[in-house]
Amino acid sequence: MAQRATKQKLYTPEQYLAKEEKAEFRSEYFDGVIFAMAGGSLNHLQITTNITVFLDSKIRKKGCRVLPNEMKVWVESTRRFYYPDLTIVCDKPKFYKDRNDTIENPKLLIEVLSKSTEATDRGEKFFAFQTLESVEEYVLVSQDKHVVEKFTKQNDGSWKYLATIGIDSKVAFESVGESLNLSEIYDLVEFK
Amino acid sequence: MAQRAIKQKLYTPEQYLAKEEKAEFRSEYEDGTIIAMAGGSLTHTRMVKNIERAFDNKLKDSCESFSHEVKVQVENYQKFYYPDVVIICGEPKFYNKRQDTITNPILIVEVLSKSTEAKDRGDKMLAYRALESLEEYVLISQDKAIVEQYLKNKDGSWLHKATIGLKSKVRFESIDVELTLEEIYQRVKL
Repeated sequence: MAQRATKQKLYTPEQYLAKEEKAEFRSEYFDGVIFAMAGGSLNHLQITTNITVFLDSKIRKKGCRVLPNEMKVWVESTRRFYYPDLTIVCDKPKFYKDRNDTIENPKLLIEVLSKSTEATDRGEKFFAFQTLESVEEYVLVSQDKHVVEKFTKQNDGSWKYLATIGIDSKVAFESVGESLNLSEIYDLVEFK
Repeated sequence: MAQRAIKQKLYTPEQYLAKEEKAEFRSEYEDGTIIAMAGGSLTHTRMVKNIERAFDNKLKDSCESFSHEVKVQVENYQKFYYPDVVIICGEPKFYNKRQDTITNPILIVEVLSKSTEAKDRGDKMLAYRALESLEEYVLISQDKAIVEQYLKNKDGSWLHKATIGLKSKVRFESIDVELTLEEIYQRVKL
């Protein structure tokens, strides 16, 4: 989702979290700086809803769950709090400093790409999420074409990249052992 | 490099190539649209030069590197791009026998800029992966010592590897060349 810097004042993680509890809109936190997040487009929201609905029903019985982008993820190595579009957790959630609004052990993270955040999602966030030991897969979903790209962690620390293109194709989320059809992911989504 | 759309009028590949022959600055082509390219920063240009020089010293005789001036055509995607550095091994294959546009690169390097990072990581990656000849796509950051490689697997997926830190070395497997990040970032302030 679109972001813009609201202030250049520097905050500690605890100051950010305290502000965030009372805030009317969500902000992300990058090493002292707080960034307000804009709302998402209809396609953006439809895609996250679709994935939540279709994926959650399949993985729930495996002890995994899909969390919407109200959930923060803390990345220690970069000192950043993110709100991924979708955070998938299997096993017991591990919380940042016992706070129940910020987790540290996502398994699969999904971002729906927007023009304003595409470079960050593909670059900086990918790098940050790679440093979380629990993350096994990172998925980028385009909102203006039928393209789903995924990075799957390999044993040697590299990531396998696979692009799935076309409404008739299917994408396998290896980290949770389930697949979705692109026709499910893009249900009700119309391109301009 | 920085880019901006100059016109929303749609062109055929042939119209684009004809304009490009006479143009004073380079433009890329995507599905009918012509996109002018801005010049690179000093750092960007310096890094491209460093990479090309290092490659030239180490490449096998059958391989050759080009920077900036050679276009790559991606057929199924209706795209013509000017990679920062492109390497061909063996005989170049030309688009419609044109000497200025090749279709069989083995390795492509882009030095990332803020303005083009999304495209280099997104649209260009998506297009380049469709090039049968391409075995390696490399993205190099300008402001920190990070070299990212996409290496083609036999099953059509790609492997993403990041090499971080000036003291590291990176091996470009498709051309069997190893460079140190110090070579790549020579005279670059990080």
